[in-house]
Amino acid sequence: MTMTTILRNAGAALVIGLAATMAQAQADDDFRIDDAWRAALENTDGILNDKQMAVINTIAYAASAALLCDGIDIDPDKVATATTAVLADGPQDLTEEEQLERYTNIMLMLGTAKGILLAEGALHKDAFCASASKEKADVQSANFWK
Amino acid sequence: MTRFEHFILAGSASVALLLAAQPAAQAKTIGPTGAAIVGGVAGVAVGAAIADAAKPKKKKIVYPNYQPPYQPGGYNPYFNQAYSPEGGVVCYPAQRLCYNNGGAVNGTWTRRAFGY
Repeated sequence: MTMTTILRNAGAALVIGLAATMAQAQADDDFRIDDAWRAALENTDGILNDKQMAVINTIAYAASAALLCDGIDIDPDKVATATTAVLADGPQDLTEEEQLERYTNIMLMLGTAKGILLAEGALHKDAFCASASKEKADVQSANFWK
Repeated sequence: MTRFEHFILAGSASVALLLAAQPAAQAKTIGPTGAAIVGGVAGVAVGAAIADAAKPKKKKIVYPNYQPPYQPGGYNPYFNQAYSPEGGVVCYPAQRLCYNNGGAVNGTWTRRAFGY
């Protein structure tokens, strides 16, 4: 091969390699909007325990999928039951004012999570909705959809 | 209001938050005067909660026996901790949420990882 051909082939290989690397990076990215979550969560750590927070985030995820994706609808009874359980399972002996403050913070956490998840889902709607539909179809999976 | 009424009100509010079609029905069950009073009380709480977010030194009501899982000023390393329970899935303990690589929440692994 001539030097020109070698350089041309090397350049093509570099481009292909770069494209493959970028595709791999794309596949390896979960597309979480890190800064938004960090800002939203830093001052709320401890309001909910692990399980409660996972429930609230999953409700927010279910709500955002219901808004973004065809064929997915929220089940209001499931949401109400789960939310009421989270609200009821808090510290004992709070004053009415403290109780209201806790409820308000939890509702804000739910709404904030829903907003961020809506943004994440909207940015990668096909993958987001495909995953939600697959999860909804899984009979083993508990979720907050009808 | 009793605590039970608070639970019901807050539970209803959460559904209303998620479903645009629900608020009118909730207002009917509370009644216009009650809704106005509740709205005023809740409005004060919401305002305080949003203000608190900008002033993290104010009191925060946490669950019993809560111990911050990070040192003061150490939220960033804690927040960015992640692990992969299986290929293509990443879980974030600080967020109590798992994601699929490629862009989607993984509800199944979120439940498994965080116990509900």
